[in-house]
Amino acid sequence: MKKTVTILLATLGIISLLAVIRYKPDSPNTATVPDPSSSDSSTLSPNQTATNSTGNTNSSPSASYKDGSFSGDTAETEYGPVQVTAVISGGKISGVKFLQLPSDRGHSIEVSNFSAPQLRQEALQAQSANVDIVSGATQTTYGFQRSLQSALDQARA
Amino acid sequence: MRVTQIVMGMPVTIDVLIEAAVAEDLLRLGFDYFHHVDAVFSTYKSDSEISRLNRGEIKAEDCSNEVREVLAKCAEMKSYCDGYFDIVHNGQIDPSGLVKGWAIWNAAEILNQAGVQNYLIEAGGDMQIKGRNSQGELWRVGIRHPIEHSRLAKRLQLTNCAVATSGTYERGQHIYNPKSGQAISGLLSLSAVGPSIYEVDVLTTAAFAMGRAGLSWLKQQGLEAFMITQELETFATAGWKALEIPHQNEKSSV
Repeated sequence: MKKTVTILLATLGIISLLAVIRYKPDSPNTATVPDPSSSDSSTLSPNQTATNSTGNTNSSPSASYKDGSFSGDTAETEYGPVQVTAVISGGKISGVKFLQLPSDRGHSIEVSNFSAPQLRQEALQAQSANVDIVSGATQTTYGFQRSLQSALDQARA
Repeated sequence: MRVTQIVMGMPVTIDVLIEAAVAEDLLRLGFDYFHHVDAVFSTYKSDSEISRLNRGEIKAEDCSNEVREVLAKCAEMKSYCDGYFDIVHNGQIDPSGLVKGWAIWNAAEILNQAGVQNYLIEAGGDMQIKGRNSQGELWRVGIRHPIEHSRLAKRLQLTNCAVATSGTYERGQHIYNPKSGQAISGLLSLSAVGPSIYEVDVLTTAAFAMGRAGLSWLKQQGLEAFMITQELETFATAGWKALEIPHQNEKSSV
């Protein structure tokens, strides 16, 4: 793919002055915004604070749910309302479903086929966040999370 | 030196491992670039070129070189992804699905041109990484857990590559198939690793709209990928496992 050089032309003049750069590894300075990967508790919802800690073996934060399907509150998103149903089995979350999808015309959901041989499957696990950076959603209060949390609130034993 | 700012409505983090005086200048260049991209492309800024284009105040052919380049790339990608990548929503264009990766890639080029050997540039959960982290080791990248939001589904150690994740919990993410308008079949999260964030970002966005078929489609594109379905099953491409940090004792099953 062709990369843009428009902005580079403007900045290369400055960069050319930094021709000789000698550096040594530097410890990270404090970020201006709290880094979500640096602490387990920074972005927790109130229901999760008590159960997330590093070094906690065999922790099952979701083990105190009642079995069944629980629908959360409807949350507004840019694409319309979203309502999440949490499916609980054996006291743990076994799946989620979406209701009130935007542009829902009442058709059944298409499920595309996919070739499995080269794909590996394993159970979804949860690990503590001691990494340099996290890939994934950065807004925990967005529609899906809000609706899911209200579903889980109803499922709590 | 590591700094995070909110730009384009999301946290943007740049980490350059270089002496402090030089780092400050480079970080300023990097964030200035992201702010510039935001000013040109943001659909939330009424005076951005994209907003004016959407209101019909300017025509595509009269837009800046950058906008015309991005629009051309979006058309190219729509064709390449067989319509699964489409920036038109409700009659308006929103190229943010391509702009994010494109901007990270360009910011990485700024650092490359400056001779920086070790850096991380991340915006809204997508990133380009190079060299080693502050401990002199491979960069440690987590894949956010879709349910337990402060924990991780996966931890990777890797470098000189890009990582992107699409998810139904992500702001602005389609949860319906742009081709059919119907609900996307059952994914919560889809992550991919490849050489360039520009491609990885767009291809992951397109693949998410394909549902379960997206994972093998990404493999065909030469990427390693990992998906979590609505039933909380996980699937990974054959080469993904080699990227993972071995599990430690504190893992638990959901």
